[in-house]
Amino acid sequence: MDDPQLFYDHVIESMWLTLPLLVLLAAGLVVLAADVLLGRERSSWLPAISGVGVAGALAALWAVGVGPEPLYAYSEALVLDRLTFYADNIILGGMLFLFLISPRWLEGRWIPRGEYYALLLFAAMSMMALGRSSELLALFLNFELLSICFYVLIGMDKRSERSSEAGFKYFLLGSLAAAFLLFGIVFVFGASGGMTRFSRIAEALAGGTVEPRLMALGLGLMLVGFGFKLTLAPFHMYAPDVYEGAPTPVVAAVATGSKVAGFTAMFHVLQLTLDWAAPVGLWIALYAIVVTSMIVGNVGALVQPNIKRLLAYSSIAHSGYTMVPMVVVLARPDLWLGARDAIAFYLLAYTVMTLLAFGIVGSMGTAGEGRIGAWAGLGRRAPWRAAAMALAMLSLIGIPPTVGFFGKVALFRVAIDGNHLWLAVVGVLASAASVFYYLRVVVTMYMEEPAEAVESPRLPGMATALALAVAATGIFLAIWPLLAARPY
Amino acid sequence: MFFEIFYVFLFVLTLASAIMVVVSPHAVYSALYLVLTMIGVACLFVMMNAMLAAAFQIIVYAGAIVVLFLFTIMLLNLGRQTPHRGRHAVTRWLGLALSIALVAQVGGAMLLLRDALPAGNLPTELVPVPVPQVALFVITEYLYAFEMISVLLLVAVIGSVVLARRRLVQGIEVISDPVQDRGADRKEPATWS
Amino acid sequence: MELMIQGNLLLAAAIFSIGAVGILWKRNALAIFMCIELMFNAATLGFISFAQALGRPEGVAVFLFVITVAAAEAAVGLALFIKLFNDKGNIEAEEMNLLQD
Repeated sequence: MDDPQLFYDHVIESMWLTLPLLVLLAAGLVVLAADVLLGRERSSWLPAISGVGVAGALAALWAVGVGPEPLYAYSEALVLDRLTFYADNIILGGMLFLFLISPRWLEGRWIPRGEYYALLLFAAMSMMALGRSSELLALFLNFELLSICFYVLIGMDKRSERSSEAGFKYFLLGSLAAAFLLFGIVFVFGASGGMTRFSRIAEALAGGTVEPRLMALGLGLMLVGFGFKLTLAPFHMYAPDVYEGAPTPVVAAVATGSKVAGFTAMFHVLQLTLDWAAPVGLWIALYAIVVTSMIVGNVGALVQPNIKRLLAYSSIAHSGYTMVPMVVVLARPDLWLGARDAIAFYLLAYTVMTLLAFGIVGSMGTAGEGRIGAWAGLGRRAPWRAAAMALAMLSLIGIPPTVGFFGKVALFRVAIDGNHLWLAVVGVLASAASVFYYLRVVVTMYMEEPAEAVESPRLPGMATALALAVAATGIFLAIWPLLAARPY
Repeated sequence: MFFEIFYVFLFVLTLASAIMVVVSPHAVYSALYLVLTMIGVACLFVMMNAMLAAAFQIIVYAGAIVVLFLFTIMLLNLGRQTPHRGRHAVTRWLGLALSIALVAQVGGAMLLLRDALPAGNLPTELVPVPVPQVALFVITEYLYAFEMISVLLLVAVIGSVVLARRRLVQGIEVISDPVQDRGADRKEPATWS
Repeated sequence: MELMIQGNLLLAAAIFSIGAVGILWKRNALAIFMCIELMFNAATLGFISFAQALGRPEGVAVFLFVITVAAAEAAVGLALFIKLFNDKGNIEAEEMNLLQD
């Protein structure tokens, strides 16, 4: 960085590479200004502006494109490679869906509109940034930015004590996660001889100048931080409470976009260790986390009477499945490309089905967002939505030919290729247990009669969004062989 | 010799005040012990010749953050805490055991630190960092972080205002139909107008 | 000098653990958050120790960013506590039971 002109060129190039992030940032600022300038009557413009912003970011993402070699921006603070490109597409697509369902959901709720949309845009930006992090400080900052956006979004509902409580719990656990992540970063920094760039850390690891125990301790602590963010057991305790109390579109973002970003970032961190023989302790910790997540998620969901809590436990289980290839890669570094593709594909599948499920939950009104019992007879009252929900549930189970099935096949194939047959078996058994609670929702919708008069669900604004989501799922199912063979 | 004695004194002081943060029954005492811990850490920074870090530690941590804590304690009038009801006892002891394991782990790793830091690379003297160099790092190597911090502060400002704003006046807030969802899970608080 | 660095790292680990235990033992949300600040402090102590020992001047720059984040987080967190207090009249962690049915 001795030559100012070189540095200037580098910054310009970096801004081009991060153009989608800048577009989202600008959209957020425009929303904030528009909220003040347009006034209350025209607040329906805000989701439109946000949607245009996300669409613009998508366009920018494709305009910048991606090559076979990773591109670095801002002195290697961010990386743009195939995994981040794929994850960014998932995140932006999911966000577009959330901006579609948000206006209807917000009606009648005491949530300030301008701040809601602006923070959701900033959250989208930080998700993309988190996935792209390739430097320790950038990783920590992006992690924190995303967390702070969600503390506010979750606790924002002025009229809901549950929202405050959920925000409070997410805040305490989120800061705890950040503290663990930071402490881990400290040890990784120290063990690698004072390096913060991932590429330098990988060099140090490959060069063998690293004290393995200190490095493993650092990576383990970082893993705990990620574990909180990705609701991996045993760091999942807060998830059901937060998912239940928070505004539904925000929960959908926490459950999908933030996890996509977290897994992408975590993959980049674990990728560092490919040329390094990790100590046994780290392996055992990873195995334990994967297996307990799959078991805790599926067992916990069995007894949940509340749909959002059920989806929270389901999300824990799915995080466990997604972790399977990461563990395998640690043992078999040669498989990392296949593992990357499997994870990317599964994240897409998981995002599509989870967003669909949360979208329908959000359309059910206050009662339907709570107990599953309120869904009784939905098959007759709202056949389309019941069908969409049933599709989401079947896909979450992983029944062929839904996208969830192919996603799981991709994940477990990596495990089998890497001689981790037992992990695949545990995963399949855990999925088998999940049949009970997912199907319970379907059975309630189609076979049970409502006990009392239920609040009539709100439909109109949602219908478009849901139709779009279902169509997206359908199209996605049609082209799955292309994607499954090579996700990008 | 004086240096070593002073170091041991600081070590004990910092550790003891950190323990007192957890042990004291009153939130205000906890906050004051937190200040003491932070000042202890700042003194350790000075001993490591990291003057700039020490200054910021005192200004930002001891000055800003703890004042914010004290302000909140006073505002909410949080007095003495009520004793435990004995719930989650298992979690507590498990946490204690895990934390001791962590210290043991780090302690073990520290014993190996001599090998971790490549031999001969360890400076005999800890050199102070020139401030202009730090400034240069902030706007070159860590330019991204510098930009991101501004976004983060913006988000924090918006967030704090949204969350802590107490009075919702209809017409300023965008509220379409407050009656519809009223009382889903709460009663009307007296503080609202 | 080497001993001092090791001592500092050990102290950082100890403070971090004290904070972690405190989170499980304290009931008041503010006290819990103070324990988290303790953990952040431990991390910055460890960070500066490593940076100085390894002669990495960028350590101080990173430290500046980290404490800025900690301050921003504290501001949002305390705003959240005020909202919760307005809603419920207390911020005791054990009173958080609306969400467990």
